[in-house]
Amino acid sequence: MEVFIIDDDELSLFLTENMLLLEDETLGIKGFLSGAEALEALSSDGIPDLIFLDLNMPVMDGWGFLDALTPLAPGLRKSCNIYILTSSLAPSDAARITKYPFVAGLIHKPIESDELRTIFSQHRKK
Amino acid sequence: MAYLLKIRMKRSRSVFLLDTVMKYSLDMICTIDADGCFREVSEASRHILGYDSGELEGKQYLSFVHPEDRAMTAGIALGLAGGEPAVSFTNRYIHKSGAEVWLTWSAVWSCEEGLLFCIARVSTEANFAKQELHVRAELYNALLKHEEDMLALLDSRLNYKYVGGTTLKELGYAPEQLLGSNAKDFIHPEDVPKVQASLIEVLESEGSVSVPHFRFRNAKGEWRWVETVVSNRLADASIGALVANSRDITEQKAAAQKLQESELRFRALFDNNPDTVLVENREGIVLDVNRAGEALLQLKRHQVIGRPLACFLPPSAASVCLEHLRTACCGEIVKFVLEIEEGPESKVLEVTKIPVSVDGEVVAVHSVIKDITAVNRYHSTVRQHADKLNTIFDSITDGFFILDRDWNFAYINREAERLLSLDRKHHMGKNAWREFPAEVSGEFFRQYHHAVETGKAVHFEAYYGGTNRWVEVKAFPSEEGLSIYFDDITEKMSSRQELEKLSLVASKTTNGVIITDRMRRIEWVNEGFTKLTGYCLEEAVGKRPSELLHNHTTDTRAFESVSDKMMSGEPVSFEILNSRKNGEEIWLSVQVNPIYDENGVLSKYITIQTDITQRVKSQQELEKLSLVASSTDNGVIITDADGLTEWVNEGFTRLTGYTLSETLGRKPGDLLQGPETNEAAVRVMRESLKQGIHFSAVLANYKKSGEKFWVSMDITPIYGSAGVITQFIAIQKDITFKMEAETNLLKMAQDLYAHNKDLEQFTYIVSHNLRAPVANALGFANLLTRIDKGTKVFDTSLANLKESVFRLDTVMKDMTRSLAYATAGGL
Repeated sequence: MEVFIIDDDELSLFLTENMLLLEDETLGIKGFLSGAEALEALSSDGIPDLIFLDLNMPVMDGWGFLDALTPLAPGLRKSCNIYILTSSLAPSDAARITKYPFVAGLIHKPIESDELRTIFSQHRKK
Repeated sequence: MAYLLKIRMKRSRSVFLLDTVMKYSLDMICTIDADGCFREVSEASRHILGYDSGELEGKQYLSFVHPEDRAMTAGIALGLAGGEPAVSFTNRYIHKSGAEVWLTWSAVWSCEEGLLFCIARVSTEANFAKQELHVRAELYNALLKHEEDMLALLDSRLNYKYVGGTTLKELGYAPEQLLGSNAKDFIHPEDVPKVQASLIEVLESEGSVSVPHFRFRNAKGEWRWVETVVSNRLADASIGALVANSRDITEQKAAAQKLQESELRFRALFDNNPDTVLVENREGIVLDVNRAGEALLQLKRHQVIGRPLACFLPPSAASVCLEHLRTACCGEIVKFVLEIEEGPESKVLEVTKIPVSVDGEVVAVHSVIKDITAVNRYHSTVRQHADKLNTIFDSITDGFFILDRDWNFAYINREAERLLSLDRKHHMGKNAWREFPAEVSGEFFRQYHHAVETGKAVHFEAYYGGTNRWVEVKAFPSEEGLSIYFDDITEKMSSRQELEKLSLVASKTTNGVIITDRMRRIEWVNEGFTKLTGYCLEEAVGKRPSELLHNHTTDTRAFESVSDKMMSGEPVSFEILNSRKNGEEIWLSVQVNPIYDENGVLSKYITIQTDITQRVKSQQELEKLSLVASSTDNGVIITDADGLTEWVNEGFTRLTGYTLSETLGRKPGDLLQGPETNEAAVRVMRESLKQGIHFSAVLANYKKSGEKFWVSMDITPIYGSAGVITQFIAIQKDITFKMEAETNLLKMAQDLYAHNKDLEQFTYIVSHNLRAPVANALGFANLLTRIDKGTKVFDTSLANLKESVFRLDTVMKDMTRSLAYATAGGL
């Protein structure tokens, strides 16, 4: 299972990767420090099963990345679950996410094991 | 005798001789006509038959003949008339005294004269021979003078010895019926004693005794009054008896009785006559006077009789009386009225003088004097009354006339002449219905007939077309007819009709009408009153209006202020808040008018109430409104339909500096609008005014001083009753302060908005920059518990935890610094 983690904070990126690996060591995890990098990887490597996306990033933040994905949305929804992973607790973010129907959910950092298990089980149902 | 006859037949020869023979012959010579009546009788008839020749002439000779000899005598007379020669015969005549007289006749019939010539001589021989005489000639002679009476010879015990005479026959007895019987048996038992007394007297005397009148029974058993003279001739040898001469005096007695009665009656009439009766002789000397006369003269009879009547009369009256006495003495009945003035009173006497004649000569004059003073006075009183009545009838204001039972005018007074166009001269005595045929079967006709038929008075009002008047009529039927009084009520009728109309108005008007007495107690209220107050007439009567309409909530000051004036009789009007029966309040405008009677005394009040509740309420509202309008701080402008100012309030002046006089007749916009006034808002305003709708607007206006101010306007069109706009009312409010405040607030809001933006940023920063290291720290702390110590991931994670906390610390320091700056320098 391929997983993309897009987060400009290496500490957060490291923490998320290791938490995922604790749940499933077989995961093919790729980390990107910006949305642009991730977009490049998408176009070259194909679409992963899961994407964890941070919102607050320089150059291309999470929203920019989602906007860029919008044209591909119909295809994405079948194979890929995109989760917003953010440290922000601002309610405005949660409201804003509803504009992007292909986003599967919002997870506040730090991510917990139970949440991950739920995500995996949801993905397997697909 | 033949010679004498010859002389008689040829009387032309010597009338003197015949007359001498007729007068002095001792024989009775007579002629009898074919009808059997004596034509001429010689004077010898007197001593032969007791009749004068005059008593016999013209009478039937047979009536003097003794009834038993009449047939025989008539037979002989018939034979003579039939042509038999002269005869001689004897028959009986009845003497005037009733005695039979034997006469010897020579008679011859004269065809030439149609008369029987007869000569009669008393046949003495025959008389003596045929009469049964029981007494001698002396006796007869002695008795001769009483021959016409009843002659009786009685013994001393009154037994009849002889009876005879005419009276005996009249009593119906034959002499033999009495002879031998006792006279006392025929005398009335009551009279026997006095006859007995007379008998004793006679027996003791020599002469004659008159026996008091006594009753003697005749043959029919009737009692006859008898007068008897008895002479005692018992001693007379030739007679030897009591000689009683009796006469039937029953008739005389009755006549005397009658005379006495008549005398008494006359006396009674004379004395008791209520009128004075006075007898005078030709010289005016009073001969008698009755009791009424005594009273009239106030003198006793003896004081009057024998004195001249003139003594008792005033001179003037005396001369009048004397003059009339002279007239009466000429045999005329005189009647005259005598007025005698005695002191203060005058007497009126009606005198009738009746002459009393004896043998054609007036010997006395009876005066019947009637005191007619009272009658006279009565008559003059009646006349005066009639005059007075006439004056009264003429002067009464009522018309008056009388119709008799035949509907003829019997009286018409002046007012009746005037009212009904009657004319006394023309209509008196005329039939009313013939004179006024148009009224026949009309109201008057029916009413009058009704009155007469029922005998009851009628009273009615009717219209008389003849003079175009209404009359009130009272007609009283009586024996004489119908007395009719009437009065012109034309005016009354018209005022009554007017009154009826007025009453209609009073009762139907929506105004309340109250009529009270002097003490303000209600006598009448109309329907309008009931509608206004809720009290009906029955509830209101007898109460005072104030009792009904005032209650504790009523403001009675208006009433109290005029009450004294009203009670003193002046008309007053006031407005008062009253209370209806159901407690509702009602404002009434009240007018109280005093009514004075004909004597100028206050008798009633008439109160008119008008419901002014609506008006008072609107007035009160208006007052409040004007208070508001004049004292509010808002400016109020009233314009006419064209927008020209009619009025502005003080608030307007305070607001704009313009006074009422400065704005009057001008458009407010022309005064107030200026350079910064919003053109668009003005256009909207004009449009709204045109449409006549209520609207509000906010405008920049300019005061008189040129100072700009903001005004909020509320404009309301006022519609008149015709649905056309008559006025506009604009209410202005200075909102300059509000506008400035709004401007400030806007700026503040803008500031706040900016401020909010910063805060949002801050929140974001907090949310991301602060939360990120905290989230990392939490994550690493969690991870560390799950991985093994000594591994590279553990070490890295621990280092990352340290790094995360360090970053957190940095963010906190930055934030503190930012907040300190914000607090110090503002946002």
